[in-house]
Amino acid sequence: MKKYLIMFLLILLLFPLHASTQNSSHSMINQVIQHGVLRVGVSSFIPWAMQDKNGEFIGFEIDLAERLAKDLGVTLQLIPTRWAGIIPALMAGKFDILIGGICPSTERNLRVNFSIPYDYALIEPLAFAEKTKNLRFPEDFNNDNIIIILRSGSSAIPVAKKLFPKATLRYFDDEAIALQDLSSGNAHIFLTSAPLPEIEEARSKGCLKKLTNAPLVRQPISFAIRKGDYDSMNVLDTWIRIIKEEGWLAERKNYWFNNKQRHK
Amino acid sequence: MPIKNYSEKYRDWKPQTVFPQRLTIFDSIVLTAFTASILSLIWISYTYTGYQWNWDLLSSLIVTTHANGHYILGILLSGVIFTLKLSIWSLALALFLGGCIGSFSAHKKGPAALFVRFYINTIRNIPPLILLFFLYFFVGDMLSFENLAMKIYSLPLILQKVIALFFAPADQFDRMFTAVITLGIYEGAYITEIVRAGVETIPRSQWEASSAFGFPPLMKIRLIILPQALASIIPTLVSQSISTFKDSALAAFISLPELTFQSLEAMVISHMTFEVWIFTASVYLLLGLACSHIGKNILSHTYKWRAQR
Repeated sequence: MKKYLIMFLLILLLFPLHASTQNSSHSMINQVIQHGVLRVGVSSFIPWAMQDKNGEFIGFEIDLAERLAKDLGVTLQLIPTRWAGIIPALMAGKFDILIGGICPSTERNLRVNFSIPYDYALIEPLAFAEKTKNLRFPEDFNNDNIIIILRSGSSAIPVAKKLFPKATLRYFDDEAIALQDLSSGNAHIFLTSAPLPEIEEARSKGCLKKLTNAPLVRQPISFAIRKGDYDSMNVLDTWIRIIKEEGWLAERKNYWFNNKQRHK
Repeated sequence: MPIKNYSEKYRDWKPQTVFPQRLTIFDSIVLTAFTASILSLIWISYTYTGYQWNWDLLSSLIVTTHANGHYILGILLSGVIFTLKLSIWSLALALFLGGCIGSFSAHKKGPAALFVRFYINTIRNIPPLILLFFLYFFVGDMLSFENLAMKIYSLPLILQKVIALFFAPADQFDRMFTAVITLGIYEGAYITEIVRAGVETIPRSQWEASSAFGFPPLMKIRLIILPQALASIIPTLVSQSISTFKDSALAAFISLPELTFQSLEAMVISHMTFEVWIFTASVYLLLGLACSHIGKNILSHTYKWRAQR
């Protein structure tokens, strides 16, 4: 028994060796300039970021990332990441900046730092037409036989909890799986960001319906970086102010969000 | 046991065929029921109005034409290639680990065997997805796998291309690395047990006889024990290899663009839920079938080779 105990202690001794390989906390932007590569975490969500048929990433946030890399004078490396683990991946240093339609919240802010908003998300309800045709929005939806689909970790969750406290909430990691569940008639509504409800209403040929033209809530969207790096934060904030003043941000937003042909 | 008996036993060995010479009544009932259920499934799916089938769009996700005219890989086919690379590297690592640890830990007792038991019991009792998260978020962060990827950028361009072709491009390197290590040690634990059990089926007299002839330990295993053990190892090994191909789908959760991840992406852009997953399932099916075919060939070669001795 003593022999095994000694062996166990020997294994434990190996661990502190790796502690020295930890990164010391430099400014992320400085490191990016030094390496010449900006790693940006993105998550597919039409039309913010998506792959075209050739596997190339396109979208509003991809334009932002490309412009940011160009302005910093480095090459862009996009890191498509599953939505479910996107904040842990940022914290673990798998990429430098998260441009993934993240709405700041106080709870998230305790784990990562946010830039000033570069855009606003509008939360809208998309409904399964057949099941909801006799229901009035929003008063009839606060009922315990109503099933509401949400993307897990999305900013629509607090909205749903506040507006429909009695309804059953069902969470999906993926927008596509959530949509499929709704189109199969397994739920009543899917709360998601504009312009998805509008695109899906047009695409589904009457099966799905956007319930209201007034968005339920408007939420800011920001870049996220690891905590405590105020130099990089300042660079990003200033960059967002510059592209806003230039009108470039509004022009890109208009290109991706108001051009109906883009979504086909 | 004299070796002569073995060669006689395996001389007339042939791979079993699925199709019998004559069909019994039971066979025909099963065949009819099977065909009927497949046909009705197809019929139901085509008369189901809640879903618009769109097979044409699927082909553009598999192979697509570039703006300048020549064909390029679509997002699904590039996923298939990633899955192949991931599975083959993981399988290679698992076979190496399992082969070495398994053959040397057979009939062993004491601390060395204790470590092997520790490895097998720990890895086999942790869900592979959790192991993957552990390595990706915790170990990968501590040992900074992503710095490894950064070093690739400083390599000459031709070397970067070779790494991208056979392993993964620099932007996917740390995830590919984590996934290969995870699947390698996970499947390796099972293969260790398969190899150890296979080696332990060889009677002790074979070990004793080879010791009596003065074989050193390595030659003893390589020349006497393993060739005999292979017959019982290979069939189980094939099914473990098929598992490796299937488990590679877990890498989607750390965003490695392999087949499952690319299928989820394809679902986002095309909304062809059914077509995409039917395609993905058939690819995994084909990979598994190919794997078992290769395994069967190796097995019959092993038998022929042994019968010649």
